[in-house]
Amino acid sequence: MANVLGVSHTSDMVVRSKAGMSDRTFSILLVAPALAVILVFAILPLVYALDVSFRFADLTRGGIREYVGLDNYRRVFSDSNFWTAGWITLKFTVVAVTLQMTLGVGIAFLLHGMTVGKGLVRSLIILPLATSAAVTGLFWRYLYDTQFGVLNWILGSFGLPEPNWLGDYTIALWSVVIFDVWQWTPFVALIALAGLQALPREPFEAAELDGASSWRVLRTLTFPLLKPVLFLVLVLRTIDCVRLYDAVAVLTRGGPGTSTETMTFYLYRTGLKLFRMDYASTMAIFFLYVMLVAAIFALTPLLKQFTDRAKEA
Amino acid sequence: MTFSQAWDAGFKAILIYVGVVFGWLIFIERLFENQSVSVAVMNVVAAICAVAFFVRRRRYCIAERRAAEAEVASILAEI
Amino acid sequence: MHEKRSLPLEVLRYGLIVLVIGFFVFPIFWMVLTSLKPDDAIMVSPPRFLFTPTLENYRHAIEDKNFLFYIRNTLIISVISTVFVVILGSLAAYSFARYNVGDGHLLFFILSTKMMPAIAVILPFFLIFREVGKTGFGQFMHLGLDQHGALILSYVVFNLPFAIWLLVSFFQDIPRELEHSARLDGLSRLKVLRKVTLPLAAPGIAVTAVFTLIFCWNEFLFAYILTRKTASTVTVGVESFFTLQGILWGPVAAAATIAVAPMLVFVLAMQRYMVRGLTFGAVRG
Repeated sequence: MANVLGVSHTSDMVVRSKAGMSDRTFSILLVAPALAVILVFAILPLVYALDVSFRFADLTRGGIREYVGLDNYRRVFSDSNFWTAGWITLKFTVVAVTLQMTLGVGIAFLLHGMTVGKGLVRSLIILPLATSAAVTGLFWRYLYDTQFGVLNWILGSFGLPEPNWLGDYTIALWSVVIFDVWQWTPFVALIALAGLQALPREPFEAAELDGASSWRVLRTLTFPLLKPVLFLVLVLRTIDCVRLYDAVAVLTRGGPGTSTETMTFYLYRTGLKLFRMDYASTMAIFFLYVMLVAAIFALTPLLKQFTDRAKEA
Repeated sequence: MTFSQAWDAGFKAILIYVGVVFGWLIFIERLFENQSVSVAVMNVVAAICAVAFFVRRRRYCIAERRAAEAEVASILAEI
Repeated sequence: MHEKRSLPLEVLRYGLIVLVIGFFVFPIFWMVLTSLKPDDAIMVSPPRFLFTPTLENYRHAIEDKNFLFYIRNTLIISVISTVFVVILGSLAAYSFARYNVGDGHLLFFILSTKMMPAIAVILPFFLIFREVGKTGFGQFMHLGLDQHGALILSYVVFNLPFAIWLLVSFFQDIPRELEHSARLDGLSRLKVLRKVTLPLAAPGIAVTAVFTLIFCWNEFLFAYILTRKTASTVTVGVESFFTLQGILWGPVAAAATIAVAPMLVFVLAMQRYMVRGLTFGAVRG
């Protein structure tokens, strides 16, 4: 209510330090350096991209030229490859994030009940996260290899089918999904685990005294309490999966055909292989727009949490 | 309307404007014969949507503020 | 939680955990193994687990391809970027956490920049650094293309949003009363920050530094586009093992192991700090 009436200060703001600088100036000074860096290097490129998106810019034919209004946008929107890339990105994100979240939370529960060796397991599980997607991804090509890859050999020994992971256009995308799941599930698991361990004990002890079944406790107590953490991880992983580039670049390079061409890779191909910077910039702007809209939905609840806590005196 | 609320509403209004433009280009423009006409109408429609949104937000914020003030006044009256 | 532990369930639990660990560790293990294999043990089917280990691949990577040079670059760039990110990010995050600068809008703006894919801004960055590199100031600060400064600056820009995000929640977890009482004792705001808040926020800052360092070390796209020879990092270096005849998996495995090993070791050492309280303040314990 205080916010609606325009009253926004904490009691801090009224106190002036001996040096005479108000709290407001101090807070702005603190933020200034980081803000300056981000402003220059995030705003400038975007303004530039916005500008180019309204121009004709084929780098093989002399560079950035005259304005063509909305034509680039028209062209991009009618480009079926563009929409296919968007669809592929969507497919990838949904499947990868769902897998990571479920597996990650499951692993967190698995680890939470451990009595010994938790630290060791955590150390081991964290390893994929520490590797570079571009580097390990490259090596996964060898793992996925149909002739010499160890993966197919293992599958074969169990009598399971040995798919052509990277060469079969129907499953190539899922091969990339598996790689991303391998690398990032530990992230989800560790954060979920931290969340589980940070939960207060009293509600659970009370529930146990009341004789509630474990399933009931899970449903009405654990998950509601974990929701903020899980939502946060969900947002983070979704953002990263939509932006995925490295894994595609080293595993499949968009292939076979264009079956793994995510939006970022299509952007890369248009801009740096076909040298159509106009279309690439247009796609980037559209991407930015979608992300901003998504950001409003995703960040508003999180931000409210922040600002609420920041306003506590 | 506080500055913060106005900024928030303004930002979303701009996004709505751009959203209408995109949606228009994707779905509606093919129904028009003349592109210039389509662009003109598009801008008008987008502007209307954006402004309408902003005005609605403003009304909502003002009403909310009035309700808060009324509540404060009634509390003071009780004292 | 005091559950009664049934033995079969516990066995199942630990069995599953072993499987999980195996799944996540195996590719890395295989990579290290492959790096030690002589050529004739690599491109064979079925894959061999027993062989006579050799360091030939490593020798090839280090001597023929001068791989340690890449490590040096990556080290310089990653560490300096992390330092800047931590300093700038901490100041800004503290301001957001305690003073709510910009009433949430500024924070929203900063956090939303995280959502941009690198590929979308790569050309403007390329052009900016190309131009800046020609100026005197740019030369002095090593900001031109294929120079360390350009990559450092790029990494700082890209890591600040997430770092600020992490740090804000860590700062908010520190009770205000401690700062209030220090202020009442007459300490200036900066002193309070330095003597009271920062020591308490040290775990959070450590977590942020770890994540930032890992990201910088493992980043590929910017390193690939903004560097050519002098400032290339390990991720770019590994890509150089693509030859026209195909990929030499032995040397690639060795190079990849060298590229990845420092971070693996680092993470193992810092594991404890990485998980403590990493809930972004979403769960109030």
